[in-house]
Amino acid sequence: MKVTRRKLFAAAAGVGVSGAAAAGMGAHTLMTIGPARSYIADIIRRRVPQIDVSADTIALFAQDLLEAGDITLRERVVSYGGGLAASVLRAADVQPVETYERRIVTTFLINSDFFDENREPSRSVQYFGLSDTVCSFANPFAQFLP
Amino acid sequence: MEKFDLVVVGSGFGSLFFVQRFLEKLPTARIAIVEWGRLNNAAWQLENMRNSNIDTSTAHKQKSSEKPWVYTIGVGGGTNCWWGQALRLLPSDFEMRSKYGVLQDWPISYNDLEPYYCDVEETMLISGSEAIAKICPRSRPFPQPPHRLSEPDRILIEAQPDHHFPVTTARASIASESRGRCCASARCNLCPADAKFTAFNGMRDVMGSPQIEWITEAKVTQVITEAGRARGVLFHRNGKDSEVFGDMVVLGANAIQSPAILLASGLDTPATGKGLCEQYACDLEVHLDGVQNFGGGSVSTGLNYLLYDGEHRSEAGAALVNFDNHFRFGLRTEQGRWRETMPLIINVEDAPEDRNRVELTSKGEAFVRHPDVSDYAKKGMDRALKKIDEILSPLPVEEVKFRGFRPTEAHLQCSLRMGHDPETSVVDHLGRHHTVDDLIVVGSAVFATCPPANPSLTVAALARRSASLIA
Repeated sequence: MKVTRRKLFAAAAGVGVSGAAAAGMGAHTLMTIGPARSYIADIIRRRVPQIDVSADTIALFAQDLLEAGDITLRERVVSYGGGLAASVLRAADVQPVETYERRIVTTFLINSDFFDENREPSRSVQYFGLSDTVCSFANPFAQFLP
Repeated sequence: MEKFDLVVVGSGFGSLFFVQRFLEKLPTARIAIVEWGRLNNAAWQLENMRNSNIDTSTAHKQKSSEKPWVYTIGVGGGTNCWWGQALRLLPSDFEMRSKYGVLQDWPISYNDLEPYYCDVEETMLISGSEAIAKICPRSRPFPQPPHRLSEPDRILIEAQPDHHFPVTTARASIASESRGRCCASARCNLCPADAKFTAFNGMRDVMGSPQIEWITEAKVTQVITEAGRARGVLFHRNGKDSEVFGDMVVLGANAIQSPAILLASGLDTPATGKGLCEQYACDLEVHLDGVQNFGGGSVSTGLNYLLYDGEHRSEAGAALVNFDNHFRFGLRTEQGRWRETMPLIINVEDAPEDRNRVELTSKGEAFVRHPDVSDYAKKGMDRALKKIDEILSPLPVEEVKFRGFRPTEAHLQCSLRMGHDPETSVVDHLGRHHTVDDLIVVGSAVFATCPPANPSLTVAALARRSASLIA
């Protein structure tokens, strides 16, 4: 049986396996969705506080990122869940953390209706899902030749 | 055992463009291509999210503290993983010693190579603007029009028409029978639209030729010579050593594996393996005030040559600035200013130095020794960083952020340089080995210098020229 990363994490979530590896030791870990959801929610609330997005939507997005095999996310969630405050991480590793967090926000926004000109501004942002990991970072602003 | 007209090692740009031209001239020739990797087509690559089943970090040895070297082992070689930047070198790049008193002159000129640049641009359906002929003279138009520009590129082209140009690329700007149109997804190594030229979508005549016998998952270990002539290669496959023979051997592994094969064959002329290098590069992020980026039609849409050529090259490497049209660092997070950011890559020319070289381990494997880039490259980078404001002056720049040096550009080159002198070069202007007849080297290993432009188009043009004049 071919064990894909997606299946591995689905199995891990199913039996409630949680991460235990220490940050900085280079070890990967299995984890439930909980810490990832908290970490992603923290990034989105802090980086784009002006955006109305529900906790359920963030949870779906976090799960998709994990299932897509975002190794950096797993490593950072271990640090976050292990008690290291995001501010400490940022101070130690400013540019990579800033870039990483902006890329998380960007991935969320471009895979949602946020940039849809027809979206009703008073409605919460709707997340479409990472339908294809190859194209999950596609550029919705690109303009092509006719 | 069948004896072939041609035995080819590797199947990247150099090998396949040589083979294509060879078969055009000699359609009944029998060719064996011996490839270390296996055939992983576009569907396999997308499904597995990688270009090869072989991890190249295990393909050669090096100190873990030194910079990484990246390449693809598999049918199609670098045509799989490249991002489609298809730049010509500049005329000055071929005459650095004559013009600026440093590095080496290539044994050919830009004009020698120009018709072959045109040929391979047609094969690869290169997209570009004729305006770039101001710095790279052209005898034929680009096969495809340039991509739609981003707003920063439009502003810079208007302000610096002699220095800023739409990108020249093998990412198709319009769909064709064999390729889709670029989707600007910024996953070019795994192009989801099959828009980027690869061996699979752009060289079907070669890939499906009945004249070719493919020997895959076969690692070539030596060139077999007899009385000063190449007669075939020894390869390891399925746990045993085998041989394949031909009238001519074309060595097109890459700039690490090709010199290793020559060294393992006892063909250790003075310059063999020496000079391995690639562009020295860094990332910048520019925050803009009121100008929206990311509206272009491909992953990058602009090239700036202001810091490339000139008298400074007598002391410091040339710099080429790539203007990206994708979210390398993410969107900005301030309300309404999402797109007011612009990622740049500065690529700087390096100088081939003997200390940076390919050797063999005691087991005969490739070992890369690369203590550092040259001072010439470092001076070029310093100059580029100090002068980047000159390039950006037409734009409303809020802040320029240095985002770090890039570990590798995956452009390994210069380890089997071409030239006239066997003491300082390994092959001649056609890639013919200086001391062994019927042995041709193709690929970026033969570059005499390491200009900042991406090498793949030049690799293809050089290989086509060699086959045109040898076959």
